Amino acid sequence: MPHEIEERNEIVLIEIHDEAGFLVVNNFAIYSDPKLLHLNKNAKVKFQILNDFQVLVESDGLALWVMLTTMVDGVFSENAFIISGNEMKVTSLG
Amino acid sequence: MSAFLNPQNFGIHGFDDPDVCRNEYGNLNSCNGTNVWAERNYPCDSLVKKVFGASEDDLDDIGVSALQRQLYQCMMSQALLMKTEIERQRSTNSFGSLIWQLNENWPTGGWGVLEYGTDLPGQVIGGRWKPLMYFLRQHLFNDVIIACGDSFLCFVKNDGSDTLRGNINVDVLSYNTSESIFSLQIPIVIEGCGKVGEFATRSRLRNQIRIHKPLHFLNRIFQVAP
Repeated sequence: MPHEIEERNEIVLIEIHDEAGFLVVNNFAIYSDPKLLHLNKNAKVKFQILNDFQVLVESDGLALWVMLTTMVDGVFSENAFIISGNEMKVTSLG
Repeated sequence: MSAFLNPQNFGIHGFDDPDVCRNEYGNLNSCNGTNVWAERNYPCDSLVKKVFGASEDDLDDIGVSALQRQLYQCMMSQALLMKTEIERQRSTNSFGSLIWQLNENWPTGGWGVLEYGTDLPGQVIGGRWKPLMYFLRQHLFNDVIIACGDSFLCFVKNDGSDTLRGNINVDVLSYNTSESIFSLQIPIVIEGCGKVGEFATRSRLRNQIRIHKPLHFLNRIFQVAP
């Protein structure tokens, strides 16, 4: 398959963990603008407020850059994130 | 978005008076008006078109869902384009990047990472973080950065003072199916003070990591999007 086509169908998720297994940093790479991506439009992202400080986010498909916002003062521990299929993520407001 | 950047078009504000904008820095960036975004600075249209392929109709669309889409695409465009630029800078022999200015309106195509944070209705004191601010914390402004560019080539740069020992985990997913196409793990030991390693997620270079001195330039692996 030609590289260009191959790249457009892929997203690269990269992480570095230290010797103890702790996440040092992560990142992602896409090889074309979002307007050219062939995403699964049927992916559904669900939110559940667990308590005053935590939100559970889950998706049944790959969802790029899920952005949470609130009128509450504070910032989320993680936001504008990528969530892959059948993944659950808890982000905290602090 | 162009709707509220064009002084003749007031659709997005629901019949507010049109703004009066002056051309100070090559575009209509200095505006006065009664609507809540009159103090915007830089337009976002070109960014949204570039990244999300929005049409003029998309940008002139009105209504709650249209506005939410426009704001999201504006701020994500800014974050993605800035991410590319900051990764390019950190792949070079650069000694630091400074964000200027820190805060500005939410829907604008500038470099700001916080929205204005006043006690006006709808704002949060201190300013909400824009997507780019989260990208800075999660991906870009750490002592250690990892990023991938053109031709499946990636780099790790350790600007910290301590040697990093650990593993790089790479997971390549399909957009269509969300399934993993392949994964790999690469052990890494990289000294601090600007040491750079490069590796590839494809080809014969896979599973090999090469460490370079800080002076080694890696510009060639990046193509800058904007």
